[in-house]
Amino acid sequence: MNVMKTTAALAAGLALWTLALPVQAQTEAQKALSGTTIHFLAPSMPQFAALGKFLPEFEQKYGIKVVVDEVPFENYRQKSLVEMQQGTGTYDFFAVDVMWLAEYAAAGFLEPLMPYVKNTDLTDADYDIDDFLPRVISGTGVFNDTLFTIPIGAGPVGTTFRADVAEKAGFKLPERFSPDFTTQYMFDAAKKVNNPESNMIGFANIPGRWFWGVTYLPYLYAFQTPETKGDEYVDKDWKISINNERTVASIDYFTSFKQFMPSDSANWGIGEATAVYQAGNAFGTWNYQDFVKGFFEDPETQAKVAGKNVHLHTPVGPNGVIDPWFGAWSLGLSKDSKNKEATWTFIQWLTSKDIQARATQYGAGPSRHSTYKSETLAKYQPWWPGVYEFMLKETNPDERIRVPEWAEISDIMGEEGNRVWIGEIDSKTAAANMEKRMTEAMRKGGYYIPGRDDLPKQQWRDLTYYDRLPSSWN
Amino acid sequence: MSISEHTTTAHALTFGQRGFLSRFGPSNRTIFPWVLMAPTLIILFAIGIYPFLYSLYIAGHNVILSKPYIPQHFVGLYQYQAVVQDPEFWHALRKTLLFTVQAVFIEFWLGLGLALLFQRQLQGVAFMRLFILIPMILPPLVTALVWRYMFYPGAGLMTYYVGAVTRALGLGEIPFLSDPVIAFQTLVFVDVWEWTPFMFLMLSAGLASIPRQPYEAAEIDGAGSWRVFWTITMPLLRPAILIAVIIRTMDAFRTYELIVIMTRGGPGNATTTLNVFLTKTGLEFFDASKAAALSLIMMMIIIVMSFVFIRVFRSKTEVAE
Amino acid sequence: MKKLSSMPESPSAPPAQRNWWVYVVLILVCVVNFLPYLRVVMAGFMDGATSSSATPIWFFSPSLEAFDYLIFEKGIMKNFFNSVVVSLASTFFSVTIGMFCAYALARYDFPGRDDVSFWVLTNRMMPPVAVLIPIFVTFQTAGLLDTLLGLIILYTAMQLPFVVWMLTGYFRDIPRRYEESAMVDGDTWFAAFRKVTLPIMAPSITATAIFVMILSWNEFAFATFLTSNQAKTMPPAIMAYSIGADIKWNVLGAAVVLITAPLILFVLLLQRQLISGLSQGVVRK
Repeated sequence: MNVMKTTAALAAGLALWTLALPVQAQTEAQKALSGTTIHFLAPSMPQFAALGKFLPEFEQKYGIKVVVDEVPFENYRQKSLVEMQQGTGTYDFFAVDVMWLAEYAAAGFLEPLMPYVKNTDLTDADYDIDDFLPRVISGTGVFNDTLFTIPIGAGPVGTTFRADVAEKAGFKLPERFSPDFTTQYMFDAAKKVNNPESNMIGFANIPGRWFWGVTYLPYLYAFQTPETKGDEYVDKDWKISINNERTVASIDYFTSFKQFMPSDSANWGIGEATAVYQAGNAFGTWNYQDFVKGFFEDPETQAKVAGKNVHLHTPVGPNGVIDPWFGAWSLGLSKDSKNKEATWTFIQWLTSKDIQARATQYGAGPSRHSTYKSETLAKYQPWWPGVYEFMLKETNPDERIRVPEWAEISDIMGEEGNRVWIGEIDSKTAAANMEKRMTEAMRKGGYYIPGRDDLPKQQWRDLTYYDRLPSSWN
Repeated sequence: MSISEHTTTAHALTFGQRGFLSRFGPSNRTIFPWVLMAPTLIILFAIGIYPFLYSLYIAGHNVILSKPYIPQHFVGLYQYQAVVQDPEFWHALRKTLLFTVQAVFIEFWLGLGLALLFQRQLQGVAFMRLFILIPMILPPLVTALVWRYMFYPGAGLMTYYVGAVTRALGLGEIPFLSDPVIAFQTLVFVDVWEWTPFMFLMLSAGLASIPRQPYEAAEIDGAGSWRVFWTITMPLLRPAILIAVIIRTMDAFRTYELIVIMTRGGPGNATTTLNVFLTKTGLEFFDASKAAALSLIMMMIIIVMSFVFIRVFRSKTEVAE
Repeated sequence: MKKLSSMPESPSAPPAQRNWWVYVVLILVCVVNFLPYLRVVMAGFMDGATSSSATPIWFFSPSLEAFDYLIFEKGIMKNFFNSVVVSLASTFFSVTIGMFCAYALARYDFPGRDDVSFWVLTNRMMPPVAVLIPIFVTFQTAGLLDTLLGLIILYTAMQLPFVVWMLTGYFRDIPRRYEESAMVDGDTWFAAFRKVTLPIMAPSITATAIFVMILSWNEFAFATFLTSNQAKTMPPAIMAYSIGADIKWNVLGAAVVLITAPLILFVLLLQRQLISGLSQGVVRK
């Protein structure tokens, strides 16, 4: 409780300190919006809780009230889509997962944002859209050359290991992104320290069927060859191409970790695996960069592991390929909003340099150059600056192909993969089933209509598309 | 004011002016029941008719709600065909029936057993009733989460204590939620845990209202307890059983929260029931048309099941009387 | 279990002499039914670290951290209040309205009676997911989204089939001659219903109302989709606050305490009525 109070006092102090500064000149247009109330639909996740701490400051400054409606993550996509489809206008803006942008934007549920960014009446002169990492903003918010959302944190998926356990076993884990950290190395290391009798399992994997789209995926990528990169799911003509030996090998690798885990683990999700790791009973587990602070490095609730972790990327595959994953959440303005200007005023304020840098103290992740370089980030989340180069040059926004059919693709992958985990089918059958069922999903999506020539472009085949300067999008 | 005048006034106050309205009054045995039922029927109709027509309409088209850009057109019975040809549908139907039959069967016998125990009017067990009722009071969602907590790795009570026992016996850990067969039975177990109290309550009520005379007669005849149970208790309990079983069957058939929180249809597809399949189709993939066809098919199945059940049960009851 | 169920005892049989095994069975059942609940309630009084410990912890210094979070930081009492209003009102309306329908089905023999009764029941068979979108659209058109009134109307309709089916059985068991004699004495139908039938039915109606109350209080699916900030009830709120990227068990525990407390108190106070009410009708000849 004391810590909470101190944090609150600190936040209040910070707020006062900013207010005491010569207040940034508000435009006439912004002043006119005072008194408005805007509504935000958000999943209940730590990132959004971190941003919630800044609401009072915003309300005081602009006189606009922000009401947040939290929905369990499990129901979030359903609820947001129902609200959008029916055009209720109940919510002025939504939290948008990077994977759902195609779905939302293709259906026309979101408002293009560039006109607002360029509107000097509503956007602070200091906003500087080009301060965002190109691939982060284009990968998160751009659909069809148009900017629809502004990211509030984006990061890669990786693995977290116990450095102290490795040391006791007589080895030292490699650096992040080191070519020495291969899939083989990871398996051998896990095998070496695995000792369930004394409560230390080699690796707490996440095989639950609805998680494969985020936990298995890095291995599907790692097992590609440089030539097959980009053909993980579909070939150039949008034909499903998942049934191949690389998929089979990666499923076999992923499920080989079963031998380290308790027999009742086929349904483990992020919660279960993390809990086992936090309890000090696992050598390694899955991580998402945005969760590191809340899951592994909080000395209050994770006394057994905080400060003893090494945060690595997912391993390099047998052909030297590394997974280019990144996940992100962003804010999108509803096309049915009746307070678009007030809402944009909030979004631009929340994603401004100042607030973004300060939010990292509470666990929010960076998506701006300036945030990556800020002292707050270095102080409170020192594991971040290390991924800056990766996010700038390596990452592939379309690693999970961002098509409206992703929900189905991911579900099929999870179901078939999970059946391999429990030994119901082998990986070859799984890959064949995946191909068959995903093809059906794509057919339903209208990809194979004979003579159709307006299929979306596969931007991931030339990543320079995503390197455009943020301000150059429509 | 005479008494008769007084009643006339009261009558007039209740049913408005004598004359037109009184035609619908209690004295009209054909129309009055409809007057009494009208509010219920109107509300049910008002809330139910649009969803029903909507489902019928949508099931005849190709609407994917999250893809408004796909042109919509009439597809006839295609969606029903798509459902029936989907192997996942048959798999889910099998799982649903298996789940419903097992859960209701076990709940019924356990509930009846408990109700019979309480019939013995033992000293000092009244307070136990509340303990027994607790699972029913919890929101289904919370029940599912509570049991997920029980099976959580490490601190889960089942994982920890039952695991310790089975390990000591050399059986290793039981994959409560990880083996296709065991996971399914685990869900049945939790459903039984949650709803046996309901059966217990309904059947207790039924038992308590059975008159004593038949038992006394049986005692005089010297009938054995087994015979008394089957010839007196069970037949007289029939109306209570009918309501309890039919309500439970309907609810077990559409169990959702429990499955989605505990296994979400997994491992593999071992616990994917019709309602899980329906939610996935309708609210994850937003394939509204297929979901509508599926829900209408589900509706037909449960209607036929209930109808047959009621018919069979009612006719037997009448014979027994 | 077959063994247990084959113990036919007359309802008012005298206590058997040696029935220690009955106590053993009952205590066992109580433990099985109560332990999971007790466990999650205990978690509600733990701090975050204790509730996510590696092994079960039974002794700990209690903390109100989770309650503090729910009540003061999240303002869950507003949802609590919404739940109280919605469940009380929908219980009242569904029981009052359904009562007359049940009465008509029990008392009058008119053509199509069985069909009406069955049709009423079919309204309970549709899975919520199937009707969610059309109901959402209806509510949107009628301006009922995110209002307590909307939820009250919906829950009333949802519980009507149950009320009608439960009460029909009970009404059928009240001898018609009671009312008839009252009406011969000069009472109107309604007065007879109010003075004679209702008092006899009161325990059964109370029992039915408790069931309906529990169902309305616990409803989740519609509450999630049809409410936002204003009318949100307890179940979606506790889900949102206790499940984030992982499950916060102590918050869930505290939420369970808050959401079950009123029902437990309610059942505790009314359990005699619940049993006697349910046992009043059904088969009495």
